Amino acid sequence: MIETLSREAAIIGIGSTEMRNPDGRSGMSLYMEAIKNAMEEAELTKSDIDGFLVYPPNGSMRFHTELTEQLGSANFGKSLCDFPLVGGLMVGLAVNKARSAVFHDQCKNVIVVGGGTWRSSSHRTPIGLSGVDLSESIYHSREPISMEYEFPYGLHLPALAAMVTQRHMQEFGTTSEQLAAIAVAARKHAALNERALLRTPISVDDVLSSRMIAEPLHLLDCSYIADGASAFIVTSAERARDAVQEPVWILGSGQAQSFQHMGHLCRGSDSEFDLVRTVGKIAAGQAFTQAGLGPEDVDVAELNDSFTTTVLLQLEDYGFCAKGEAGDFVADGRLELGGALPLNTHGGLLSEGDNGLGNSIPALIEAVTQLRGDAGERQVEGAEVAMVSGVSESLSSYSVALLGRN
Amino acid sequence: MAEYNKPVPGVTPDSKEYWEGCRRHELLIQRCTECGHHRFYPGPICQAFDCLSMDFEWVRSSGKGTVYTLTVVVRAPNEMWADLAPYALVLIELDEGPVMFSRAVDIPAFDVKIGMRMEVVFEDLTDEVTLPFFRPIAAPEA
Repeated sequence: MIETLSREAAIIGIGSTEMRNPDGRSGMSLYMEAIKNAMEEAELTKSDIDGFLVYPPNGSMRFHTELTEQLGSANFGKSLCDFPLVGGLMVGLAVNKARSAVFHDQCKNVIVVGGGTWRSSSHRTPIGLSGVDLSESIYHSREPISMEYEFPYGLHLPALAAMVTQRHMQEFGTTSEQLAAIAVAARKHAALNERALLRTPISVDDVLSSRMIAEPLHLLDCSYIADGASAFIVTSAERARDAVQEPVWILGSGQAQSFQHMGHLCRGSDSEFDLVRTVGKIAAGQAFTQAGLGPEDVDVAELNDSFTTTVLLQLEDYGFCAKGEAGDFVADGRLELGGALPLNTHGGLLSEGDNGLGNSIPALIEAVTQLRGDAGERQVEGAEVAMVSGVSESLSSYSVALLGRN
Repeated sequence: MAEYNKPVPGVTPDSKEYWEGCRRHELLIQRCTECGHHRFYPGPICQAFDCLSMDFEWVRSSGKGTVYTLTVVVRAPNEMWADLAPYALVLIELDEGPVMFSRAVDIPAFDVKIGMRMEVVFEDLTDEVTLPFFRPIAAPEA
């Protein structure tokens, strides 16, 4: 029954801003540029868009409506206007909602847009992070952290991921060198991506000698905060046949989330899940089942990399390797272009930049670019199937989409 | 009491007993009176796999547990915490079962290891707020 949704919707337009915002433009301005670029690429007019899924740049519960106001009278009436604001579920929730809306004729075309101004704005100040050296990394949100039982001890997001990492190392012998290979691959790819913010190649030693943030995670194990917005447009199979751009098909998607408090993350419903055995397995399983595919069919993977650890866990829980074996799996350039599983071919959050809420959209845009064959120097030859994921920084919410070429 | 410059937790109807226990230097956790399952942090319903009981009693935890995982925070969240860094954040698997988030004290941060036995120790942060921390158990346990 769920198989009916495979190839019933397609992505027909993508648009982005730069990952930098030197002039301090508003989040709204960045979002509009991304939307404009996506609509122009798809050769759609405002009135063709009757669905909006918007990740507010500042967490506002009104931003999505204001955004359509800014577009003007053509978007006065629309059938979908929502903010799928669940950390980590970005790809799954947005793709699922958009696909369902166009499949059931609720909407003709749904635009999904997200991003933020985390680097330039004072967004951090209200959450107690003012005074942070902005050249550094990911201290931007304490949303996933319990204010009563965790934050008063001095927890931040890298520390949270570090605790998961430490447990993985303890159980499976994973090393910092192995984690570093993930950052090295991302940077190598970013060097081929003009949009990426960090393009100077790095070595495993560079990662290990970068500043320790929360043992065992170094600065270069953490994403690089950026400003920017990106958008994509989803339409039905029927409309996709008339699209100007080569459609990229939604083959399957899935999502799953567990808990929040770290103590509870150690306690899955049975022996299957705990801190290092995540519900990402459920999300990927749903996507693979819908698509009728398996991990071996994925030609290129654009997986959320808030931290190197985030990639490590996904490789295991999505079935690319057995539990505990991701450390070995990522060695020997397997994740690099030319390797068995090219991963984050745009540089990911680690090197292209982490533009905040909706930060999985740049990964989805890279997947579309790869499947269209438009990735230039970083093209994965013959890429037919791409995986995209969104994962919360707290490593508790997962969403996965599988995309396929025309 | 010296001015405490870091965030303190808020108190809710569900957690009032717990925080009052902390002020008395007692680690209180909830025990389901129907199935006996212990839970932490405070909440209104049993968290055992198949129990919906909302009846519970507050019981005093042994305060002892084992380090499940940890990190040493070198780069503090902000300047508020900078004076503490490096500090070891720990998840403590209490002997009663629940896993608690805390910080290790009375031990150099980098000496904390997974599997280490720890016991609760309380620190009065303000006149109203006391937080539980964990320190290594010194003597061999019986």
